[in-house]
Amino acid sequence: MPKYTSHIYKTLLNNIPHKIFYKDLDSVYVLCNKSYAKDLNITSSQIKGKTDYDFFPDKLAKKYRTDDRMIMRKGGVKEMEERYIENGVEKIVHILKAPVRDSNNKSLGIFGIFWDITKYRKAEETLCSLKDNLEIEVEKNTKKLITAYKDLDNAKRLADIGTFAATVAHELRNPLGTIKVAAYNIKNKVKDKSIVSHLNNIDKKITESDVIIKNLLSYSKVMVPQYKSVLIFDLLAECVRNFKIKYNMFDVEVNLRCECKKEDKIAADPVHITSLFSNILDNAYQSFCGSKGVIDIESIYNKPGNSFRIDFKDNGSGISKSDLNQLFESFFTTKAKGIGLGLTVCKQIINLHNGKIKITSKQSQGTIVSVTLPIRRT
Amino acid sequence: MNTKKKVMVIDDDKEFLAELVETLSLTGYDPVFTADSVDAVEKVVQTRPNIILLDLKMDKKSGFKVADELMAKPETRDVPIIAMTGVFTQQEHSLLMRICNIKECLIKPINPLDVIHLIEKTS
Repeated sequence: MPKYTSHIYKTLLNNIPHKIFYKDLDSVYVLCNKSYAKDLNITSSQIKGKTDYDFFPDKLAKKYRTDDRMIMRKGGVKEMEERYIENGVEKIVHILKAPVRDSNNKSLGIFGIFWDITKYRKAEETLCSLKDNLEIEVEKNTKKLITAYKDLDNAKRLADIGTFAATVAHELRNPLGTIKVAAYNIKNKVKDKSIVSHLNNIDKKITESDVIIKNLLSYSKVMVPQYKSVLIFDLLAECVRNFKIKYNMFDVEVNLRCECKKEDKIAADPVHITSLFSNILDNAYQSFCGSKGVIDIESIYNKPGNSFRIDFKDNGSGISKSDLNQLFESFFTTKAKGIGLGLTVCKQIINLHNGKIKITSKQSQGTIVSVTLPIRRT
Repeated sequence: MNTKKKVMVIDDDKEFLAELVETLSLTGYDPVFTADSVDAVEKVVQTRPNIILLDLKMDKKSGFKVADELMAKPETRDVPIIAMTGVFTQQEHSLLMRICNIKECLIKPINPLDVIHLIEKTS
């Protein structure tokens, strides 16, 4: 090889940033370029006669040499990613190793070239973890979306049922009206007591049907709150008063203890809140099975005073553990006469007012319904 | 001398109409009636009742419209109207009733005794 060409090769070898080496058949270094020598903290002339054991931890050196032997035996270029130590820092390199043969195809040793790919690997890892995070985020948001969709679907379903119920209720009132007047007329015409008792039964059932219709209509009322400045104590007291009038024939005691100041106002829909309180009181009444019913209503301020809690405590039959979980579901009811929308509506009203409702109960020990409403003094 | 109060019933539900008319006549009123909402105003003009029981939701012409037309006629404007409905029960409807000069409103199913009470109170 002319000296000129050899000089060019040498210059090329020493200027290339990639690490280049050549080892003999025993994996003993014959030469390396400047870039590799620099990593090993030697000059390139010092590499001759050294092995990987001189520069790398035993485990790594052993692995390099095993690879060398395998490549020299099998022939062909082997390309791989490899652990590497540069100035005590572990790196990842991409390496190409190939057996070196003379013109007679006799194996002379092994040639290697490698370069640092640590930063690409790190970037990939970061990308991977970002991707994982993204997937977690997407999953989280999807779950939120599904919940929101379900809520919306439920709300829409209730609204549809409401519209439907209202139509049916209105339509039923007309035929009921005719039956009622007809029964009245028959009653005026016949004097036979046995017939009159049947007519009285018809009349009683018409009244019951009318109550069902009224309930249906109240459930189906548009649930958009008309916020007004409401004196909460007055509202609660009025609900209790109406409740007492409604059930005055029965043995029910209601005690109202209110920490709310008389002048405390909240921004609320009085119709909604009245319906909420009445519903809770009706439920309490319906839980009394024959025995004397006592309802204790207590209202207290929550710290730091931006909301208050009203507890409705009864000594009724209580709620079984399995029923507790289903209380707020639409059409869940344990009553023979009832369509199971009362607490669903209560929950909706509470949600619309940014409040909370909690029911704790033990069977045959009574129930506590806790309603928390924010005070938005107006 | 005939002192029976003449009560006009306007309702397109024929069975209800028949029953209510029977109630009124059993009670001692002199009922007149029509199931045709379009013809109703003319019928009132002809029969000159002391009081009108008017269904608000009827085919062809609503009770509100009938009431409005009665109010526009000098010969019928002072006849008190009691509305009957199963539908218009909300607050916004009460304003509409006031505008149409409807004095009272009964919600179906109506208790016949309430009808009699209101007729006596209003006419």
